[in-house]
Amino acid sequence: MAVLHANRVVACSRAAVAAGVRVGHRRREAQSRCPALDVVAHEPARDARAFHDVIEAVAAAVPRLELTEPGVLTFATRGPSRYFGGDAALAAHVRTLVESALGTALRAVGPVGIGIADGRFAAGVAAHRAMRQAAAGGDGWVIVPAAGSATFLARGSLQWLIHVGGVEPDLVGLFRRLGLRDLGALAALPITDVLARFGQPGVIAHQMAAAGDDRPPGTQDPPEGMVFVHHFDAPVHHLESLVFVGKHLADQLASALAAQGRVCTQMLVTAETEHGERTERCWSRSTGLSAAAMVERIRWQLDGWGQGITGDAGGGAVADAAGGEGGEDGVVQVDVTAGVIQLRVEPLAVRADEGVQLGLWGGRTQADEWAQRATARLVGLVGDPQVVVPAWQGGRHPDDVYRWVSASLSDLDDPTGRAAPGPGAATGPWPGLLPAPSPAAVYPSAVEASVVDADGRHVGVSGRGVASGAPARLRCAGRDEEVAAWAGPWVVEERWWDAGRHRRVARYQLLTQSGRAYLAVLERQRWWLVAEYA
Amino acid sequence: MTSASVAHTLPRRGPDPDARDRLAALAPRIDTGSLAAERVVAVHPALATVLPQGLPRGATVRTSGRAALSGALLLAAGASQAGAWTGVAGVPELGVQAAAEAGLALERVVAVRDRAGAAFSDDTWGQVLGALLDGFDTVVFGAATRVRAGTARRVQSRLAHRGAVLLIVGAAGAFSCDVEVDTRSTWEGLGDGHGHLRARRVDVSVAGRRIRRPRQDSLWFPDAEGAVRRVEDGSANVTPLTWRQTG
Repeated sequence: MAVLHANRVVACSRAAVAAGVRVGHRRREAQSRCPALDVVAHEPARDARAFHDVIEAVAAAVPRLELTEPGVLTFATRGPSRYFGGDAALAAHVRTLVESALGTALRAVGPVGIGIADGRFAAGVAAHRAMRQAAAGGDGWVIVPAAGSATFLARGSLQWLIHVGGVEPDLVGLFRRLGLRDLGALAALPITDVLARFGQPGVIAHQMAAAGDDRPPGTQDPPEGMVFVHHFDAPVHHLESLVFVGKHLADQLASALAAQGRVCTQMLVTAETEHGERTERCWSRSTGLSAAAMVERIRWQLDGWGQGITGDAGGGAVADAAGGEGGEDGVVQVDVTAGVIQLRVEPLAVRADEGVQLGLWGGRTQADEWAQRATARLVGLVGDPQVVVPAWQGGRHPDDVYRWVSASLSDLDDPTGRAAPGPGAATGPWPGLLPAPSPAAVYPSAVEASVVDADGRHVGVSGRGVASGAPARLRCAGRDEEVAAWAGPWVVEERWWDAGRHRRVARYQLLTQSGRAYLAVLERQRWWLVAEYA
Repeated sequence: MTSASVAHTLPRRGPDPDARDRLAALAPRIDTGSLAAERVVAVHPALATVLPQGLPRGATVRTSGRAALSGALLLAAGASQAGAWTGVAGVPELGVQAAAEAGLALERVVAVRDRAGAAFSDDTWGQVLGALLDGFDTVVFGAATRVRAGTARRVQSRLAHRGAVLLIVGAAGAFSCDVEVDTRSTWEGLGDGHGHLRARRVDVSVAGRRIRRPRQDSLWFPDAEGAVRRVEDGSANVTPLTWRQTG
């Protein structure tokens, strides 16, 4: 299995690695090495949900976890390792916790690596080395002695800066072309020269290479009084309403920081239920979290935590999708028993906001900037729920495949969370989906109609999916037209396990004499026009 | 931009073999920054015969006929593929999948819809359209009949100033249209209880005061493979399908 983003492999399973697939390959290259490769689209929200169990398990032993991205956990070891009796004992304990949390999934993701070192980057490199050692039969942890991190990193490849440090590949490529062969060579450069030549990104890379990245350069402790808390009057069970409040808090935080010319690089999100269950996560992003990025992280956290928090129409679909995926791995977990009464957003580190440079070579363009400003203005004009963007969710009916989500709750800069899975990935899960072309007009509410056969009798479909006659006339909204061509019934039965949402419909395509093509459904012996191929 | 920063953003020969393709793909995106200076919006290649110059900026375009909605989506698709954003207002029935099939880049689509039971007033529509035209290159609008003449005039003068394209689906109401696109469609693939809708032949005619001379053409929109292309003379659809002449 391999995960693709923008046609490049961003992650792959051990089996894929064994077949010669590497991170950075293009789809075709990867498939040529391994024709049976199972390709899935990059979807951070899914990863966050899948990683949730691991976080929970480790959080039981260690406070203040920091989640850089799904798959990587960082925490300060000084306290915990004293408690567990040394770094090695701590590593062994954490490894057991993670492995038991992963359960059967462990075989697919490969061994767990744990690295302990000064600084995030050195620890990340150590963890990757540990992972390789574990694959070769090692004990799964690498502990770099205190103050030895710079020496540990010196012989390392610059490639680590991309994979672990998140440095732009272009910048690393430039380092290499300038003759810097390893991290030691980069660390040996005077920092003032690096700053003058490469600016802030260069300094970040330099600090990583020199194992001095305890905190990202330029960050400070947040000013006092920046904690934003919302106490709910009544316990809230709906994910969407929680996220809306989260959005409000994130906006307050972002604007309070913006007033001081700062941006949040690390934030702590806490939610607590009526029964005292709590979730506390730390989210960081070295380039700064915009309000939209904060909201997405709040959503990931609450979505992963609260399988028990069910939603309405929109939220239900989210919980549904999560449940469906969890079901595959057998890790559906309901660990929330009551409504949420408190939501808290707090910055842990901030830095000066240098603004975003508009990209000349792709990335963010002027058009993106204008459109996002206009979207913000529209939200102000007509309110949150009226300004929407499409998000893929999958389904069998034309109105199920995409749903509309509030534009202010999604990060317009980063549409990966909303995009449909690429071709090849989407073929499996929706048998019964009508083939393309899709109807351009999907009625917001279905229009009742009547369909009769040549003898004027109502056309019905039996429990076995057999039609009582051939549609000959369609009567709808005062019009009475002859049916020129038709096909169906295509019967689909959905959610038969859920009495409340069970749906059994027979679908027809009807083409009338005047050339209008409709998608009609027959549900409980009543006809509805649901869409027109306009 | 200094040469140093170009050097580190532009991949050299060695590490990135498909740099040329990537640059070619980026070229239209770079253009969008300066599109205001150009006077036309690119259209889908299949529409090259009916709109050889593209859509004039600042124009109000109306689509009508059986394929009015998908026609408007197809007109917006050219700019969308080139990196422009598409605003959709007053089209609550928009089929998102059909929009994607017509070629709209869904990650750059933002829709505004009325509150259920509380339709926007004439004044709100005016403000919504104003905001949309400020930020989006193409705006698909489906509620033209609910806008009064004065508001329509204000919206259109803003449109001319900003250089966006307003695509009106169906009745134009009080808007005066610069380009009229009429569609007639014939579906194929559906039989008497068998087959399914597979291909649609759309006869497009384009006229209007900002069009030099009226033109007509026929498109497969879509053809049996889901692509949008011109109906070439003499060649019918690629796969044998049951024909049914209607409409």
